[in-house]
Amino acid sequence: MSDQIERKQEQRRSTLNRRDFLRSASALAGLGLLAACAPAAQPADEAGPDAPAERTRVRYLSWWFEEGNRGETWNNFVDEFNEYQAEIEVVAENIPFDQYTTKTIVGTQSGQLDGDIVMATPELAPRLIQSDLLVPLDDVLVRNSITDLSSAHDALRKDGNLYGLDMVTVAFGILYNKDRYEEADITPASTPQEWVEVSAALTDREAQKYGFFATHLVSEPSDFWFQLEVWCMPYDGIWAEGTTPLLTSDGIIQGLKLFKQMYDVAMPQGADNPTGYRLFQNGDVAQGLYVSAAVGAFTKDAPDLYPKLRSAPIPWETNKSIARIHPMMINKDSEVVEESMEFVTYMYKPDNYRRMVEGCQDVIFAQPSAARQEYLDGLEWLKPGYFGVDYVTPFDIVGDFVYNFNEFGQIVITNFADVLNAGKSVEEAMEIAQVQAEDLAERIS
Amino acid sequence: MNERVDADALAGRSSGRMPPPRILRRRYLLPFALALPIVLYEGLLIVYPIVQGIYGSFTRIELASSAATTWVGWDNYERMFSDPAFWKVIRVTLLFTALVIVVALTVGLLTALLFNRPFRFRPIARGMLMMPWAIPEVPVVMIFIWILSPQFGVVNILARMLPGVTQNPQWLQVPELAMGWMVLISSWKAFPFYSLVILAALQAIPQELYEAARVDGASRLQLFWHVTLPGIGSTLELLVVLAAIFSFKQFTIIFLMTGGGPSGTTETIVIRIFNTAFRFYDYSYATALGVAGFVVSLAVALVFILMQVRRTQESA
Repeated sequence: MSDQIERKQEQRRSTLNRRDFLRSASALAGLGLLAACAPAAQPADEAGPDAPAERTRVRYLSWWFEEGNRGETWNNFVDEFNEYQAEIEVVAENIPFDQYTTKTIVGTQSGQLDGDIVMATPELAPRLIQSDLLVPLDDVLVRNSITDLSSAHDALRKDGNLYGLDMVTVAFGILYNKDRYEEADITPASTPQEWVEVSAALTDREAQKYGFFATHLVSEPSDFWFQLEVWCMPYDGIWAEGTTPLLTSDGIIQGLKLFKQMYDVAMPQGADNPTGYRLFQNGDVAQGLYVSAAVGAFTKDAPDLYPKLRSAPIPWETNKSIARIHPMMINKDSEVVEESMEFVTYMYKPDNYRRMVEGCQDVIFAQPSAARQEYLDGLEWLKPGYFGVDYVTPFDIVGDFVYNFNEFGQIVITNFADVLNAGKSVEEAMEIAQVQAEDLAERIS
Repeated sequence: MNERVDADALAGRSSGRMPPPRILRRRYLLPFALALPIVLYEGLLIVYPIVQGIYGSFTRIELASSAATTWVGWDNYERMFSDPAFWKVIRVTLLFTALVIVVALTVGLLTALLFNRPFRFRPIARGMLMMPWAIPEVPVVMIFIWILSPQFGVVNILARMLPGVTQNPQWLQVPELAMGWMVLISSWKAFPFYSLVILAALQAIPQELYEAARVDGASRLQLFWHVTLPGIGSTLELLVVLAAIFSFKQFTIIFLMTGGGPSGTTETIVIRIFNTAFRFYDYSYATALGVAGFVVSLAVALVFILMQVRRTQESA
């Protein structure tokens, strides 16, 4: 009997009972918690008194670090700056363009703007300025003795302070493949209607050859609206004035009808943006409305096509096109404002700025005195389409909806898609859009 | 001896000697302590967001502005019920859900019946059957975008063989075709799972039932109707509910392929919620739509629970 009791006791000692298990688990969890709360241990080689001081990290958010030569240029500048001094380390963080605005806006609403240095689109910038989320950058101009900043920056001022510095201004122009024009024996158009005819002449659907491409799918809303906004230009229309949408105005209706005509006679219908881009690279699409900043990308993406690229004069009387300013800004809530300012100052030194613009193959200089004529003369595609054009900004064409540019654009493209695919007339679709835009105006006012 | 006493104590049986209150308290608390992690998880990551969402639907929230959130009562719901676009979205959602249930379950049932029969290389074929389900949704979308590309898509070759088709169809730009493709792709992606579950149910049907029915002279169709179908009935019921929930919340395929277009013909409620919240930045209205979607999902789940209760009562 006593043997049995001893055996049982021995068995109890050797097996883990529930209480022991819970006790051990609690102890382990407690230790884990303590370990997690403890400060990170320094590696042995960095912990000594002679170790170099840790650099202050500055997070720089943009969508372009993976964009061909623009990405390469910016990554090189980040590296260059990090080598140029020993206190600050700028870290480039890429966010795809399609998600950038939404992520920034939602982040803002959830408490604070993400990143220390942020790039902004022409429409995101005023939204951020209006929300008092940024640091004034006038000091950058003083430090670099810049006195000829472009007037496009006026839109980036509030209460006399400048909140953004342009790092790329892109302008829309008609870019074409000269081989396709020569094969069809045609010359650039001089009126909107001629432009449609030229595009139709360049199209042979059976042979999968197309005269023109523009994004037209609602599944690609940012690109669709980004390109559609320029179609108010041919008939000198504007999308809105102040908070009054003008979607049923003659200029807009005529512009959208022109797009529809082009869609019917010259576009690869149903093709998404990557497909359209590929068709242009292959020479299967002859022309498109491209922003100047996109042209440089063809040097890497389509080196065979690049030498064939030319720009056509704007085929409408007003000779107006949209220029879009993309400013660099500093987050007011950043803990490294001064360090961020150092990087922006570095990038805006006239010589660095010029090297950056040339590296990205951009053509519009926010510091006109930094432009080198030899560089501009070397770009065969620059004239005449992107040169001597009267530029307007999104502020001029969408009024106060610039603060709600995406929402406004979503209304336009959703209804206009019904014109392209569901047989609605432009007038009918824009009447509905007008009502929705008025509702939007009421909501945001 | 002690274990016996404790068991009696827990069962409420009196043995004349109660264990000390400290032990009793521990024993009663233990189940709660063990359940605490999952309750915390559910509470923080599921219940709290739902409650927050419901609260948000009664407010006005403007993204990217410093305007304070304001209480608007039933405004968002009044707007929702008077919005014809909302009812269109509900119609599209129900149509899409119903079609996916029918197509996916029918194909799932047929393939399960096929794979329930012995044939050569059956294990390999069963493995291959699972592939659509195993591939993540984004690659599936990319593959189908290429297949359906009006310029490069392989499906155009087949379409051009049809009389009267002289140009590549706009597969995702024609409203009727777009919805059809969304249903087909979603069903193609989902049916292997249903097939696998039905197959397991088929293998659980006792062979004696088939033998007895054959002895009684039942035809193949009668075997299917009177033995197979009742045998897998409860499984099918469950799958209908699951298919309804899965297809109701289908997002990736529709969003990436059509974005809800053309003309809103593929805009289901989840796409609408996303567009409202993150394209129109109309966050409060989006939460109201989300609550509506939640109520519909809850109703489907409730139907399933009632069906299960009824089945339990019948078998009892």
